Amino acid sequence: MRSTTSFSILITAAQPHLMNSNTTETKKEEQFKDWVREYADLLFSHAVLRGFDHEHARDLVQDTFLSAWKSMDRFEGRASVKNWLFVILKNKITDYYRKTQGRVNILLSQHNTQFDDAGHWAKPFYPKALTIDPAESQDHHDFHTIFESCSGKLNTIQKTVFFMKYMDDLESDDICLQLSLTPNNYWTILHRAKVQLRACLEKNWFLIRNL
Amino acid sequence: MKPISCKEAVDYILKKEEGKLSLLQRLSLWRHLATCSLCRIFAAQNALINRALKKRQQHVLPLSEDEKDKIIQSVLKDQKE
Repeated sequence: MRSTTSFSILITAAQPHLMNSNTTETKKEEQFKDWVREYADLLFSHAVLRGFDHEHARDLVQDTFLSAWKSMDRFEGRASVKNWLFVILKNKITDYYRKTQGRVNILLSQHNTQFDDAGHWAKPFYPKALTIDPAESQDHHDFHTIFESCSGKLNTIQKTVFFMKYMDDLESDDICLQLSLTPNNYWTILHRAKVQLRACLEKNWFLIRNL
Repeated sequence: MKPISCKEAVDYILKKEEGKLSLLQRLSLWRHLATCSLCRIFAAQNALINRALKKRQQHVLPLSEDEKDKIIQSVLKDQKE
């Protein structure tokens, strides 16, 4: 008899709590869906602009929302939702880059052929004069396409350093710290990325304009 | 002041963007650029690339509603498992 009473008390006590948690659950899901619909585009664009292909970018966005969902209860609205999601995405991207660290030394040991032994421009790589500024011209769209394909050809660590610098506006000290690079490595990577990107743009854009 | 090579000049051009050049290095770069048209072209194109990088941030690439639904489903499914 005693046990039955305590059992029924348990049920009545549990019932309101159960209902309450169900509505909170639905509310949370609804809010989550709103966040995906509102911010997925921005996060996706950010990943693509950083040089990830569409499939990889989509995976990163999904991963970001998974983490967001798991820590949603701890998000107290102190930062804006957008900033919060971007912080998560950027952490995912940094994690990804850390995993590709092993390639740095291989990359740096490769001979840089754009300069001769005396440090002078090698003849095939002489920079050629440009006629117009594509970033300001009406052909901006063409330039954008060429730019994307050229920056897509940079290797992972080059892309990382490059976009941390130019998209996140981080300084070299910060970037070195985050990626555990020496300043020398950093400048070598940036140097080669710039020279390579410039050469690719020149071949595909500057020369077309000069025809 | 020792003359610098084109390779060093490119390094200096990049470091200058971050304000990481000493006065002496700035003078060396300036002197190199005064006599080297190739590096002047590089400097101009480098500036152009920087402008393009800034502009490019404004591009938004939309994900389809389908793909957003896929994200929602996979996250909520993951949670329930």
